[in-house]
Amino acid sequence: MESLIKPAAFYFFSAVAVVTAIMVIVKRNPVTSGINLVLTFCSISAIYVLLNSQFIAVIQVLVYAGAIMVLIIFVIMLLNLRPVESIMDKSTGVRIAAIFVFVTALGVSLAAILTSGGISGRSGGITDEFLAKTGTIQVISRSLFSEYLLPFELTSLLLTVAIIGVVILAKGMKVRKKTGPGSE
Amino acid sequence: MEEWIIDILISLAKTLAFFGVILLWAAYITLGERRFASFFQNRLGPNRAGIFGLLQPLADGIKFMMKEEIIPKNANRAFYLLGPTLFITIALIPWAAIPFGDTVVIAGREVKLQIVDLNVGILFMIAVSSIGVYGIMIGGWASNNKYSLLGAIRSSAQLISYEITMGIALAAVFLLSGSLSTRDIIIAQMQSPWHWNVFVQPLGFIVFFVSILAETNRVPFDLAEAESELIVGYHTEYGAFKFAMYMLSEYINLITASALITLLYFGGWGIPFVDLGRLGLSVNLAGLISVIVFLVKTGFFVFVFIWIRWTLPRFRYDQLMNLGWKILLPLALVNLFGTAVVALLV
Repeated sequence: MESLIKPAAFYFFSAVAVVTAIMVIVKRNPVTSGINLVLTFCSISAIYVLLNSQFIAVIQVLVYAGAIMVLIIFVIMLLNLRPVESIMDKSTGVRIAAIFVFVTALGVSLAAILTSGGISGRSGGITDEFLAKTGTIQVISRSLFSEYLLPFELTSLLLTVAIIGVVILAKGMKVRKKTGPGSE
Repeated sequence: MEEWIIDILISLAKTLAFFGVILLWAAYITLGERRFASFFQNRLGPNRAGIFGLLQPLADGIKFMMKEEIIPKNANRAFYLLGPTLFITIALIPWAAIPFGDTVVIAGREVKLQIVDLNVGILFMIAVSSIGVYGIMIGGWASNNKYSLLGAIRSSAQLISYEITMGIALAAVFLLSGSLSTRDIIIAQMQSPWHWNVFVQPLGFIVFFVSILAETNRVPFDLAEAESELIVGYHTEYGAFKFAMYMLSEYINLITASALITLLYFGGWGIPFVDLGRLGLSVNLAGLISVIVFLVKTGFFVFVFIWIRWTLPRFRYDQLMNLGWKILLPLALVNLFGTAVVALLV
C-alpha cells in the first residue's frame, strides 16, 4: 500500500504546486495570484511531509503561508488593486527573449537532472528509521546549534537589524529630533 | 482482513466520530452561549424548542438552510463562496492532532484516542490556525463592502499580532516537556496537579490565555465585529448557510482554544490526585473516563470564554495593539528566558 500511496501523493502535490505556481504569474487579479502562491506553499509543505520532514513542513506553512503571504495579501487588499488589464509588453523582441530564457532555464534544469543520474537523490545517514528514533526536530536543532551555529546567529542578528531599521524608518524623523536619554 | 484495511477503518471511524462530536458540540455552544447570556442579563433566552431549548440548534440549522442564498452583485463570486468554506475546513483540521483521551483497545489492538500523534503536534495546530486567517481575509475582501474589508483587516492584524505572543508562550511549555507532541505534553504533566503547567508556568499561562482569547476573536477582543462601528465586520454580507458556516467555525475555534488550554496547561485527561492506571480498571474503562475528563475540562473553559464575553466591555483598537506588542510580548519573552535559565540550571 505504502509503495503505491506515496508516489501518488507526491505526483498529486507536485502537480498542484506546478499548476498553482503557473497561476501566480498568469492570473491578472493580484489577490488570485496571492492565494495561488499560498496553495503552492501548502503543496510544497505536503511534499516535505512525504520526505519525513514534518518540522520543515509545518514551518513552511507557519512562516510562508501563515505569516509572509498574509502580510502580502493584506497589503494588496489595503491598496485595493484592480485586476491588471495589460502591463505586458507583447512586442516580438520581448517574446523572443522570453522564449530564449524559458528554453535555457528548462535546458539547464534538465541537464542537471540527467547528469546527476535521475531524480532519486543521494541517501545520507538520516534515514526513516533514524528519524523515527530521534525525531525530526532533534536532528534539525542539533545541526543548527552545532555545525551551523555561526550562520544561524548571524541570520538572527541580521533579522534584528532589519526589524530595528523598519521601526526607525516607520517612525520617520521624530527619532532624530528628540535628543538625550529617555526619548524613544 | 488485512492489517492495513483495519488501520484505515479505525482511522476513518476516529475521524468521523471526532468531527461529528465537534460539529454537534459547536452547534450546542450556540445554545449554551445564548442561555448563559440570558442568565447574565437576567432574562430567559431561547427555551421553547424542546426541554430547556435543547432543540434550538436544530431549529436554527433548518432555518439557515431554508433561507435564500444571496450573493451580492458586486462580490467576487468565487472568493465570496471560498471564504466560509475555507474557514470551516481550517477550523476542523487542528482536531487531527488533539487527543481526546488515553488509549483504548479495539479488536485486539491499542488505539490512541487521537487521529494522529504527530511529532510536531502543537506546531501543526498553530500552523493550521495561522492559515485560518485567510477565511476571514478572503471573505471580507470578496464581499466588496467597506465594513467587511475593515473588519477583515482588523481581524487579521489582530490574529497576526497575537500569534507571535502565543507562540513564544508555547515555546516555554515545549522547553519544559521536551516535546511538541500533544500526547507527550500531557504525559509530562501527569505526575500530580502541581506538575500542571498552569502552576509551573503561571505567567506563561496568563499570556497564552489572553492571546488565545484574542485569537478566537471574542470579547474583549472582538474588534473585528464591533457592531457599533462595523455592523458585524468581515461577514456583514453573508447570510443563510454561509453565515452559519462562519459562526460554526468561530465556535469550533472556541472549542479548539479550550482544548489547547486543557492539554497544555491543565494536564489534559489527568484527574487531580488520581492515577487512572493504578486503579485496576480495564483499559477501555480508563480510556472512557479519560475522554470524559478531557471533555469536562474543555467544556469548563468554553464556559469561561462565554462568561468573559458577557461580562467584559470591548477594548479600543489602540489598546488592543498596545496590550499585544508592548505588554504581552515582553512578558512572554521574559517568561521564555526565565524558563530557559531554570531548565538549564535544574
